[in-house]
Amino acid sequence: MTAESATWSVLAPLPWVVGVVVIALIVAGWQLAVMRRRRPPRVRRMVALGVLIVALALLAMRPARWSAMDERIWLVTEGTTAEALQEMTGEVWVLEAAARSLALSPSSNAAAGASWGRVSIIPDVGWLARYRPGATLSIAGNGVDRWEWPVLDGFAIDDAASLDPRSPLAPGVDVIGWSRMAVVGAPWVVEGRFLRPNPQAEPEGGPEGDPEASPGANPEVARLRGPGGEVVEGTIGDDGTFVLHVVPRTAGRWRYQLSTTPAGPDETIDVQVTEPRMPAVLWLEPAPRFETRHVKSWLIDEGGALAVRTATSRDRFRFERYNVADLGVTERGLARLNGDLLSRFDVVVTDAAYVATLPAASRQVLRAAIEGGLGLLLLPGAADVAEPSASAQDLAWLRFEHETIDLATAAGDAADLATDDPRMPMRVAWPDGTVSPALAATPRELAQTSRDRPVLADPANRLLVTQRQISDGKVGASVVEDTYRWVLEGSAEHHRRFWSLVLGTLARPRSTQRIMAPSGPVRVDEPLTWTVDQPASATPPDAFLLDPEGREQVLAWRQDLLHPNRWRATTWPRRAGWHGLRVGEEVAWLDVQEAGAWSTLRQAERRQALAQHGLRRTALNGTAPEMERAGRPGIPRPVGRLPLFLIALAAAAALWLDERLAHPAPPRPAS
Amino acid sequence: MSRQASQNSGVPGADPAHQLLDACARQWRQRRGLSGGLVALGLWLPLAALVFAVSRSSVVIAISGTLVLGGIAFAAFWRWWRGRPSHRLAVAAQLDRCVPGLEHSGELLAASASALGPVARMQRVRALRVLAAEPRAATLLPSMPLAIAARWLALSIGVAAAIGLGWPRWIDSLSARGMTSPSAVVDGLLSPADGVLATRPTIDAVVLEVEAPRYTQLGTRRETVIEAGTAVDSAIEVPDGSRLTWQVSVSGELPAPEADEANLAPANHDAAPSSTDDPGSMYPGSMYSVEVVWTDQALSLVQAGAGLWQQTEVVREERVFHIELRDEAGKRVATTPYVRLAVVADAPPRVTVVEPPLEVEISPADGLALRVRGEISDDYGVAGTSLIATLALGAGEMVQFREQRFDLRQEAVREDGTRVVGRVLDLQALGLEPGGELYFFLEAWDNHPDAAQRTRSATHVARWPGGETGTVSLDSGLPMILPPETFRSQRQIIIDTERLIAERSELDAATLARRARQIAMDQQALRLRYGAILGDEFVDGRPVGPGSVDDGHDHPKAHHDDAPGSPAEDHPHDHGRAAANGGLSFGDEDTPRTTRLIDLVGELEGDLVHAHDSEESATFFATETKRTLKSSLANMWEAELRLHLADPEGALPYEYRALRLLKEVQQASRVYVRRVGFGTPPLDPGRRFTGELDDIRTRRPRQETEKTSIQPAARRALAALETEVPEAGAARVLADRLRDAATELAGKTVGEGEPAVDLGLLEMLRAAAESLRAGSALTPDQRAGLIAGLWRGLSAPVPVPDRRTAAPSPLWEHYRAAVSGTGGLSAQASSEADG
Repeated sequence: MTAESATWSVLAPLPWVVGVVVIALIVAGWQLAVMRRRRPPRVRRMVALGVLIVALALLAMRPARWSAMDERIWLVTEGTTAEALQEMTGEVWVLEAAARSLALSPSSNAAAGASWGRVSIIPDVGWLARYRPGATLSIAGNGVDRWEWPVLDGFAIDDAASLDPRSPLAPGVDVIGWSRMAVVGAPWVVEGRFLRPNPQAEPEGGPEGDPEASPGANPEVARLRGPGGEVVEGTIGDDGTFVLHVVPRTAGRWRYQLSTTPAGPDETIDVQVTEPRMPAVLWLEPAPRFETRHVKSWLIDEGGALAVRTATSRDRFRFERYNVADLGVTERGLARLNGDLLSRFDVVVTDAAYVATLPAASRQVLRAAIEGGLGLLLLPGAADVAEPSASAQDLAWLRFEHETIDLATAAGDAADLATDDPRMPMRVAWPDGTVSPALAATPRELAQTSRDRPVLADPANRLLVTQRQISDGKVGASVVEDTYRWVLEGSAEHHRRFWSLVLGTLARPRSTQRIMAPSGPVRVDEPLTWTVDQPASATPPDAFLLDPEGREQVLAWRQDLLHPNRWRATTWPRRAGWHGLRVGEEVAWLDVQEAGAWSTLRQAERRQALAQHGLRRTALNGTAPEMERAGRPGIPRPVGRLPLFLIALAAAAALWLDERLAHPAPPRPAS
Repeated sequence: MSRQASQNSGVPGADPAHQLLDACARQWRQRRGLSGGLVALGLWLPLAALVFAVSRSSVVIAISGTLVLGGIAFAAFWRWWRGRPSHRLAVAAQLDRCVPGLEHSGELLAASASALGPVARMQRVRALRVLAAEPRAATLLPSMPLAIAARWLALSIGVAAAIGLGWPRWIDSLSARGMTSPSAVVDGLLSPADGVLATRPTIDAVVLEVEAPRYTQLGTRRETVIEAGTAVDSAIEVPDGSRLTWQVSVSGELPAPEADEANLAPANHDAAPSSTDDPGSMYPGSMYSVEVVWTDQALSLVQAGAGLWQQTEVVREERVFHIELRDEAGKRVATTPYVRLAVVADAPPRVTVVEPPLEVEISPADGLALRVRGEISDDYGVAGTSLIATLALGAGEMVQFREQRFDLRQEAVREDGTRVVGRVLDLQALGLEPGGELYFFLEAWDNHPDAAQRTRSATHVARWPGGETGTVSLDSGLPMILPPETFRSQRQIIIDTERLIAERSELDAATLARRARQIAMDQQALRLRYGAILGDEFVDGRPVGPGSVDDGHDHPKAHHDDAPGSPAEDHPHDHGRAAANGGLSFGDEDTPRTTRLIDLVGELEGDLVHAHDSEESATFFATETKRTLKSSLANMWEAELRLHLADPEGALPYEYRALRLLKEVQQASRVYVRRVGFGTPPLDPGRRFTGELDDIRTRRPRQETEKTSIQPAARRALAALETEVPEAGAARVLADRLRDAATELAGKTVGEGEPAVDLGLLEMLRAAAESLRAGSALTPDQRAGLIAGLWRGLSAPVPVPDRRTAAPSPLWEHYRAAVSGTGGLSAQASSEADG
């Protein structure tokens, strides 16, 4: 390091500088004015006074020396190997966590034999930004957390030197994803990726270094242990991924323990389970059918709102209403399909052939209601629902493409068929990997198109139920026939699963105010950002943060730059436990974990952040660090305060001595 | 030093004042020591007596305790004694306060006369005179009067004597009131579970007297359920319908009722109360009540003696119970752990037929006797056994059934109680004929007095093959007896084929082909015969249509060559020829014409069409039988083909296969289904033709339903437990919810294969509830244990649809808001339209 062509400046902000100068001028003017009247000015007093004023001003203004020299600093983070540490030269700043893992202390420098010019152990990167702003930084190890990167924006980072070498990550979960909200009885999915132990890593003992834990010796599984000790297992794939399906049993805030075999620490996953809010269903059918009866029995047993309108002849209907008193639905109202009626329901179940027979005005009302959020499920009807009427242009949105299944190619299913049976056994593959019992159905499937999204498929991945987004609403189509046979054959749970999934997917969304918590685990001393959408108003939400002790804290909300209805607030939880955000009557909870939780995931995220930072810099600038550095004026190095303080002290002492010598104290009178 | 030494030397004759002071000090010390000793002795005596009395069974403990107390008393005395005045100045100071005549000059007496001035010496002499003139100077010094100390000692002696003499009765009454002596606690002779320490009454023991139903012959047994407050066995099994007598003994302080002596109940528990109206009202503790509690029910016990409650009931259902002791205010005083009472239902008898197998073929050569053996067992005893045999004779519509019942002879009884029974059936005597079948099974019933449980074995079949009978077709006119048709059986065809193969070496090719063709013709006739049964249609013996096996052969000329205008022209089928051929064929000789005919069929009215295209509707065979018959026909056709080609060796396997399949069809053609009667409810003639329609209700669909939550109490308790930060008053709410959850879990119906109720969890819930009520909070471990236990006890929820939260997309909302002003389909749609 060589100091060349240094320039000077002050680091203090302008108001400070102005203030200090004004005070200095006032003091100097007062001295001149008063002392001139009393006695002739003395040169040495003026000099001492001037020195004192200047020293005090410099103390306040923090003068800095801008140096154009290339100052390279190493930032040692977790994951740095001891070998990499030995090769570092120059100034080294070590984060505390990395120092602990490397058993490093300032006194061990000499013992380590490193050629460091200086080593500093710092708690966070803020210290670096405070004392070495603008330096060229080489990051060793896994890097820093994603939320710490903005602190390093003022540094030129040498990406090439930052990436390698690093110690391998400890085995564990390095990718995880789950929803913090779950519903009682509905599948809740936890998926992630398991980072296998490095076979070249030396065993260190404990769960992370179990010498008997070798891949292949035991089946690699991920386990999720619930509050009651029940365990859900999932096999870890070749790429390390796993998916676990859990059905929460009751409402509340619960912690699940995720463990992986053969290695990896236990981690905690939190979830807030709520009771389901059943949609109001309007069932329109051209004739009575068994399907309606069994769905109706199940829905009303669970307290769901259901209205059934069955056409018995032309313009004559039979009505059934269950739990619709709150909706204000009358038989007279059910006789006429209008916007008011449809707005009271969340999903309509009918078949396309019946919709095609409705008057055009009714179809338009139905379409408008769907655009407003209503869901529509088209059942497989007796007629070919795929071709309602080629001439009716307003029915295009109801048309779902079907494909006939060639039974000869469906080898697995054809084995169950009688030779003269025109139908095929149809099974539903549930999201958790299980398969339903077979139902006899017409051999056809729904075609996969760009505007449709799959909802359910069979084990051969043939689409059985799809949905189509139309503005705010959804239209779904099914080719699964006679699901009531599941009930008759003793598999009622599959009947419930089918209708729960289909109706829940298509139903009108329930939420008007949405609270969004960050995904993934949250640890103490990390930023926790809450997001609240208030579609109804652009004012800050009336929200409070609930800490683990149940105390309410007020948050400072900031408005999103692009979306005025979206507000964010960031807190830094200091204690582990359940933290909640109360917005009105709604409370969203998340579990803040200890700082050491999810260590593998954290290190992996740091590496990812480091890599993304390098990519981002390259994409934005397209320049190498040296080129980037060339455009900078230099590195500001502040002058130390101690010399200035000593100078000020000396000036003040000189003034005091001059005062004492010029006016000696009168002798004490004799007692 | 020298002065101090002379002051304390006490040399006689040295100084009269000093001698006088020393004498006063000596007397003062003696009085002080005596009174102190008396006080210490007075303290020690009653305590020592108490120790002796309590530990009378252990001399070592008594002596040790006495010595310890004596040591303590002596130490106290010595400490007090060491504080005695030992200095002349101190004595003089005390004398100054007690003797006014000294004029506060006692200090001069203690001083040496030579060291005083003249005035002081004069005052010293005066003080000496005053002191010498006071003979009771020593008694004036402050000390406890000996009289008081003596009285104190006398009182102590009295107390000690009272303790020593009155101890036995006193300690007994102490025990009777549930109190105990300290020494008993120290010695560990009595435990809190003995109920002696507690003043509150506790449930000491629960004994269950199980009187099994008489028919079970299990007698009566006594089960100690609770002993010393703890459960001896967490589960007790009793036979269904047992008569249980609960006996609960309560120990502790049981106050006697406020009644005169005559009404006092005897102390003996076995003695019966004298009053019949309220038998328990005169026993001690009658204000308490004891209940056996399970779920939301309770059985109140009747007091049968001092500290004894009992009640009798007949138990029919399983339960998890605990016993509660309540005071007159209904407050729970004591309770017991949870115990499961399992009711063992009477199992029906087990019947197994050992011999013969399920199906047996009777051969006259082996004799017409059928030996039937079976094993019968039951948990409480078999009341009777029998063999029910049903004879089936005839065929087709003429099948007749005759049922007979036979007793079984007991051949042996095994160690486990299994009875081996048997009987030999004389089939000839039963009337079994060739072609007939005998269905039989064993039946046994147990000794249940009210409703004997019956069990039947599987139905076995004994067949006597043979008895080929001809069939009569009734569709051609009046019924008449026809001779058997002149076609040969499949077995005969096989015999002929085998004979041809055996003689093949002696035959020339032409003869071989001719004979093979003759057999083929027989095979063809047989095939057509069975094909007619199956409903197939044939042209010259070859079936047509789906499943036909002659697709590769030439077809004859079509039948539709009738003259124009003939009735057959309008009718698409030639039924006369079809009948002759056993069916009708459209043939495939002329596809356009065939298509036209089929179109014609579609255009004709229903009464002019006789559909033959559905062979399914032509027979009433089951699918499996039909399939087997089809396979047999296919094998016949293969055999016929090879016989036409003069290949009898190739035809023989197909012939055998066809025969086997035909036999299978024959076996399946007769199905025995036991007749089950339907008992119609008896008619009420009085209500007939009255026109009353009150009980006939109009069907109205339910309007409002309510979801019945599964295990609501357990879910509420879980919700309360997961709230880690309790609010004010939440402890009591949580305690109530935990208790409700325990009650709910105890009454949970355990299904087949489900784990039993976790008694440990019930105990945890109750302990936690009581702990909360007592004001102490739950520890994190307690809370986690309760959550885990309750969670495990929850049943799987029923999936229901849920209105999900839409994915947040403010941009989309902005877009919608922007386009909503421009109109669109939403705006264009009318707000109302005709449905």
